[in-house]
Amino acid sequence: MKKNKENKSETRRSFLKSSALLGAGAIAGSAVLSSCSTDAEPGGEKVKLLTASGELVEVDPSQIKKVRKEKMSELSERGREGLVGHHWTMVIDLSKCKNARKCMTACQGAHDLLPYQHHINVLQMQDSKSTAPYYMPKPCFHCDNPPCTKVCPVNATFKRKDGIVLIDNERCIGCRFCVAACPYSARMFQWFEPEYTEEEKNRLYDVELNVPQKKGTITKCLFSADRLRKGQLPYCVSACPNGVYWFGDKMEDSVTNGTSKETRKFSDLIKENAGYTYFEDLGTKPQVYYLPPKNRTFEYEPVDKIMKDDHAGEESSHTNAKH
Amino acid sequence: MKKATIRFLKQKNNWILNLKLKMMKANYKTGILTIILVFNTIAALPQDFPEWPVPNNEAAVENPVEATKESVAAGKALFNTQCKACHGETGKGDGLIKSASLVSEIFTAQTDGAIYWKLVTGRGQMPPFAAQPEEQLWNVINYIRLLSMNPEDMVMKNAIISIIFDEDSEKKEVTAKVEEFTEDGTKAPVSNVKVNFGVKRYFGVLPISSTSTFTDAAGEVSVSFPDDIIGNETGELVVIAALEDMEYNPVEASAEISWGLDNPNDYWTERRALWKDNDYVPIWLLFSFIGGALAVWGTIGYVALLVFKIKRIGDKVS
Amino acid sequence: MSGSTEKKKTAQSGGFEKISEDLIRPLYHNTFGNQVYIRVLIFFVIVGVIAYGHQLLDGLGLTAMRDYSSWGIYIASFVFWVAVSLIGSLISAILKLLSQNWSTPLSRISELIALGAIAMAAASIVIDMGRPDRVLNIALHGRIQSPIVWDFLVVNTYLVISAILLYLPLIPDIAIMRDKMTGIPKWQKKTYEMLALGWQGTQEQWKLLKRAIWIMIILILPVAFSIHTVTSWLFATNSRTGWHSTIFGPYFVSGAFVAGAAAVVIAMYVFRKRHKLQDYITDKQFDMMGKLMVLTMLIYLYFNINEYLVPGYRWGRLDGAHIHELFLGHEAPLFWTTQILGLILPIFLLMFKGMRKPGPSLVIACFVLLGAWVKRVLIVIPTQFHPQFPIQNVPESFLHYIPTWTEILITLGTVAGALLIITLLVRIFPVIPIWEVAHEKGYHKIFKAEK
Repeated sequence: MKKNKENKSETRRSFLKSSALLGAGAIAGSAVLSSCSTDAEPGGEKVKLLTASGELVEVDPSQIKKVRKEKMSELSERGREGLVGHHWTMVIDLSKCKNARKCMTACQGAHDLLPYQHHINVLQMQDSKSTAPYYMPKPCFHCDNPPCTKVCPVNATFKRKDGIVLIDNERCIGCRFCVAACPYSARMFQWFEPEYTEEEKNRLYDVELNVPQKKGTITKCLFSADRLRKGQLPYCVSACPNGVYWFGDKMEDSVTNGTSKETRKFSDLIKENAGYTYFEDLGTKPQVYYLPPKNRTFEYEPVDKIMKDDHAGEESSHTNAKH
Repeated sequence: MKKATIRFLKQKNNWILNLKLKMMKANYKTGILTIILVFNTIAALPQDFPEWPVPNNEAAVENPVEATKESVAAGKALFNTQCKACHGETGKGDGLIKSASLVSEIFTAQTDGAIYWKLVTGRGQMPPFAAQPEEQLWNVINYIRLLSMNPEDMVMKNAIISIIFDEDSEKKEVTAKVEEFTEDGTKAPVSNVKVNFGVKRYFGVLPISSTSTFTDAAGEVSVSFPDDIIGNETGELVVIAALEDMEYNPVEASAEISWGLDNPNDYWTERRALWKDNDYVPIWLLFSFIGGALAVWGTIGYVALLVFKIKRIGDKVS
Repeated sequence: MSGSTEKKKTAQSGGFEKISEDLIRPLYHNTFGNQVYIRVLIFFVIVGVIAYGHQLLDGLGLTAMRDYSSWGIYIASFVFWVAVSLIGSLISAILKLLSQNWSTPLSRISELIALGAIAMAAASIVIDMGRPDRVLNIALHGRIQSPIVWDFLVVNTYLVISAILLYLPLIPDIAIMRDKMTGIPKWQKKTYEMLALGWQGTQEQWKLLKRAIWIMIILILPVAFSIHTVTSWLFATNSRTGWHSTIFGPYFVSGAFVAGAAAVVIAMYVFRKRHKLQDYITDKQFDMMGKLMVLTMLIYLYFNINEYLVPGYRWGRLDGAHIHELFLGHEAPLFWTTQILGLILPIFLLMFKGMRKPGPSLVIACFVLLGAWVKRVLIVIPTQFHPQFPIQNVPESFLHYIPTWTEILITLGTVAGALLIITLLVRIFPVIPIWEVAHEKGYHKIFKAEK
């Protein structure tokens, strides 16, 4: 919860910061800009601006240059291109997962999801009767041979050059073929109008964040592409208190632990701990690796596998969303 | 606070989360919060956790490991990976999970042996660390002791650190030199301080030194650079040397060197594939699809032509 | 032609007059029953449209579909409609190519059913989309690698081909109606004149028409096989139990012929009774259709056995759970009812000549058609409850799929829509091809240019 708030206020603070910086930048560059400024004559009525340091200053309007706003098409273009030169990967240490579910709540908070919608789901697994049960966080595996992108009729879901599989909710037609195609149950559909705040409603759509969610389209784990662009670890990775998640770049062969911030070589981590992937024989080439639940220092305690709330889905979320 | 989150917390019906919810609502009433805080400090138990008695013979065990800088450094490394998450960076118990404070008066009043016993036994959310080597556990205890010494009271000194690359020798070596300014403005070497060497990665720093990299009398310490670290396309990478010592403010230096392996950058290929977009359609599919469509619709077009001819004849006859 | 020229003339003119009268008469006569029937259909269509409007406003959550059962009866209905539409190719094309002349009177009925069914297939898909306002994206941003894009192409192509194959043999009939019908409203007469394309029956026109029909009959075969094979690939390309089968194409195509044949038998009975067409849709047609149904159902049964026995033998983790659910578990009552009443029993019964009479045929065909729809529901839905990873941390309602009223009303709306298309077309076009029946019976001089 705390992490959510921090992330949210972080985003708002940085948004305010950047807009204030624009104002300050305009003032700073006035010498250059005045030659290409607006029609306003110098010496006219002054305009008040807020600088990044919180100072209120007055500026001559002739010295202000309007900065072009980002267009959604630009966000879409860079989102589809990706952070070229990287190949993102995640390693999940099953020997550390204690079912704290902080990853799930952090993700649901960041992406405005309802409690039964999971970009990352912590499952209680038992591979066979005599094998030991374990908790297993399951994000999208961002496969290198993704069955979901193969079947999408409109290129709404696509794999970009840094390995992340994204969804463009401005393009998606809601046919749900990708949901049927994914063997890992990683995708879900917005059956009702999702919840969002007024601010989110007016926000420019960024394919790397996918907020607000859109009714009638698909949603899934994005490896927090918006955070990666800023050099930050994904929401779930940062929220885990038990050291379960490692996230990094296969191209530079390093992963960083979300809890301890320790950085290790990816190949070493996998080799030392016998890392593996799920259902490799399906040929999907998943890019999320698991370390076996060995030497666990805690007891496995099963919890309810099905939510008790039967009316989720019919709830008033879809009527409340008319703000 | 999102409506969804509030509803979610209510649904969960978990007393911990309900408590958090109440606490968050109370945030709006800071006055009440202040009162609660005051009461907490006045209240009987400074720690929220129930008492954890230690058997007398265990508490009597003495710490065999001397609290040298090496020991503390090793303890700190282990603390950061295993303990920091819950107990917080400063050991106050304010990590990602609320835990006991390791720097409170009650905690530090224990013997080293008592703390050691608690480490290997564990209780509730605190896992037993019996699998760790004994020496490491004593190292952690030495570090914890250090944490409880109020660092705010200490006056930190400033040092400067620089990186020297030795490209001539057979083995590639990175040397760090730590110096400080004396009263008369000259530089003097700082010895016996720990320097951490690492390579800058996207999310963090990959360590390439062990826990025993302390500067010598000349203020220098070297590590051999591993030959299997990937750099950028031309093998360049950024080496970081960071000073880590109790008495000095943290300081680091970074320098670029092309000792890394060339990054093959070969993840994205231009190969055609079924999972890519139209620019990468497999040729066989492209030809079948377009060929089939043209063949069928071409035939339909021909039939339409025949129908037009029928009409033309009909118009002529009538 | 036997006999003197004089006899030929009277025989021809007399015989043909009777045929054309019999087949055109129903177009004059709109019974009260028929009017009520059309109004009932329109009512169900409107109710379906209103339910769909509600679904557009509130989202697909008004259905019982959720994240694990994300394809429901809309998709099952889509598969059903595509299956039924294949009958157009079977009767108009395959039987014609095999010179099965008994099927001649039935070719128009089958094309009408094909057209109505494929139109509702397209409607079913749009109804199932989360963002139907973006349906053009398939054409604008379509990915050639996607089976949905292939389906989009073939379904639209088949729709056009079915329409053409309905229209082409209709041209001479429209000319007959243009020439012979009296007392019809002006718009109807004008429509006939326009659609008849000035048909006078000249030698050249016949040559062109016969060539056009011949080409379309051959063309419709690969396209018809394609639509249902590509539709089956919407399932078979996914790694899911019950779907990841290599024989899904033939399985679906053989099932399509069963469903289509049953639909034609029902239509045969209804039109025979209402339009008094006992001389044209005779017991022979019912007998042959009955045999055709037995043949198609035996082939379909063969594929069914393959589809269930092989995974049942292996009993893999998910395959076994799926087979168990169908045969002995939660879906067993529905599964066995469908298979027995909709497939196995009809095969057995239709082997008896007495059962291939009109009355019993109708009853059996109704069971087969309904069974076909339920079978497709059993193909689409149970599979989705056996994913590779267990279903957890979702509400209990996610573990079941019971269609809601929204879905039921919309589906009924599509059924009514298909029936409405057929009924309205039959109001202005003869349900039996007049000239083809006339040619069968030896009357070749029908039009002005031929006399």
